[in-house]
Amino acid sequence: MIRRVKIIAIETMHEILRERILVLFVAFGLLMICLSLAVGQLSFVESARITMNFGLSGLQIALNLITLFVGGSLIWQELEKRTVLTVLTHSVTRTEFILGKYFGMALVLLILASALSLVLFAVGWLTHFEFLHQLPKVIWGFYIEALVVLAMLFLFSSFARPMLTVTATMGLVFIGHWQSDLAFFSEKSESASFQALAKFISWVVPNLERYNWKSEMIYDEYANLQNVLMASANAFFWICILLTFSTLLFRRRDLI
Amino acid sequence: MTSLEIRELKKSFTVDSVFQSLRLKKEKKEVLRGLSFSVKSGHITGFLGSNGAGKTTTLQCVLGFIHPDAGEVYLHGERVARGGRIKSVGFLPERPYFYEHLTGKEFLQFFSRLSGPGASYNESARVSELLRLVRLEDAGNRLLRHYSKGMLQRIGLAQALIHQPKLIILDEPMAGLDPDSRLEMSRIIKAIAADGAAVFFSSHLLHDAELLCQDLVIIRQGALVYEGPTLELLQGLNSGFRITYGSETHQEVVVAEDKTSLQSKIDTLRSQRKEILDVRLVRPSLEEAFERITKI
Repeated sequence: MIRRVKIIAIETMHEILRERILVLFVAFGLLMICLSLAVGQLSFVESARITMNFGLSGLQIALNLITLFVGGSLIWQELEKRTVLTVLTHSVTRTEFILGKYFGMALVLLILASALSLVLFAVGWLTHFEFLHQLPKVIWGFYIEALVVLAMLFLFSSFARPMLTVTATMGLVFIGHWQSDLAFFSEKSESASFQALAKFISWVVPNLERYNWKSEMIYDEYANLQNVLMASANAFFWICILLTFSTLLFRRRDLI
Repeated sequence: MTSLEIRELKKSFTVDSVFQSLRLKKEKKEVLRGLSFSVKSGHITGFLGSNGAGKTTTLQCVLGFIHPDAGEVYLHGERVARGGRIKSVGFLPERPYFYEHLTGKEFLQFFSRLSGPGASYNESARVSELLRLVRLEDAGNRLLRHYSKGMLQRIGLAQALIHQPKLIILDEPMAGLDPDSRLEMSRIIKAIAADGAAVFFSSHLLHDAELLCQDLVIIRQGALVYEGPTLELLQGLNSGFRITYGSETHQEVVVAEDKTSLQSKIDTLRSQRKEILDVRLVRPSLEEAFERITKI
């Protein structure tokens, strides 16, 4: 099983890296990081901090856009072009196929996150940003968030078209980032149904802010390793759950 | 030995039908109605039926692309579980859409790695052997997006053979090919069967099926109409006898529908002192046979 997943993952990675749309999003990420140098000049005192904040946001947006728009059509393309059919006749199960595609995209995200973070590191070094040692932790947070988002996309891809897949996932991403606000408002609210809804959302949607250590880096607050490990375990849990459901749904559906 | 066995296969699809009182009415269309047949190892079996008869749906059920509502599929004697692994089967789809960013060689290597028999297996030798078989040695390093329809069909066939499967399923392998490519495809199919694998292919081209297939499975509206040897079907549906009489310079022909009629016609001609030059059994072509049995 692992051998087949690995072969499909590597092939998927090669396929995605040759896609033109990827160049567009990478260019967008690079532009945002480079633009951060100009934005940083707006302040005399906090120049490095503003540069880094803007650059990190650019990197995070670029990673999420790549995940949404490339990952959202990954399964659909295979079904639309019917390339999946020949793959499945080579002793590959549907579960192996889904996992292979997922890990292939995860590899692409890893390569892009590493490449963009190197550029961001160079920008931080040029602007003499003090807390660059925290950068790997923040990038890791962005990466695991992208992996959770990718798993959400795979869940919707297993039964829906790309448009619905991307829209539904974007909705979950927004809710995932606003979970703390939602919890805050539900505490303040006197409506029992609103409180129940907020509770329900906190159970079924991953809290994506849990993987975000951007502020810690910008203001050099302490994000200890235990926090990072706990958040990683949490992301792993969500990925497993989402991929399990997506493979179950994909196994049940007719592919034509 | 049986390579493929299908028992009581049933499949229905829900189709959008007509608007009734501003609501889209859904209808259930029964595509396969308890279809059962088998395919023997080492034989070339043709799968025939008109458009919409259920050929492609049957193949999709066999390969696990769609799930049948009822019935069972056995591959090499083993029951295929829902969502299970399809082993030792090669498949060439009707429209060969493949990974266009790969070269012919990379494409075969990818599938070889997916289902290659193991470490002792010489991948590059197998890839070269297949490229030779499908006569694409010179195009091996070209991207698939630059292949013609015939070339895609042949590289698709090589893909179906890469893991030396015991059963090869071809969905309309001759469709859209020029005469040269069809001959080439026929040559390759014969070579595969000669190696002992079972070839099961659906086709609209009855002439090709007649020339290639030892056995036939014919379906109509999702139900079996004929299963058995091609020769038996053609002999069983003979069109009678043709009697040629007269002289070397002036020949006339009379047709007898069966043996009794043949004897009486010969007796009549003899009594009229006509010289009988030739008596032949007239066999229908597969096209005629197909038309007759699917219209019963």
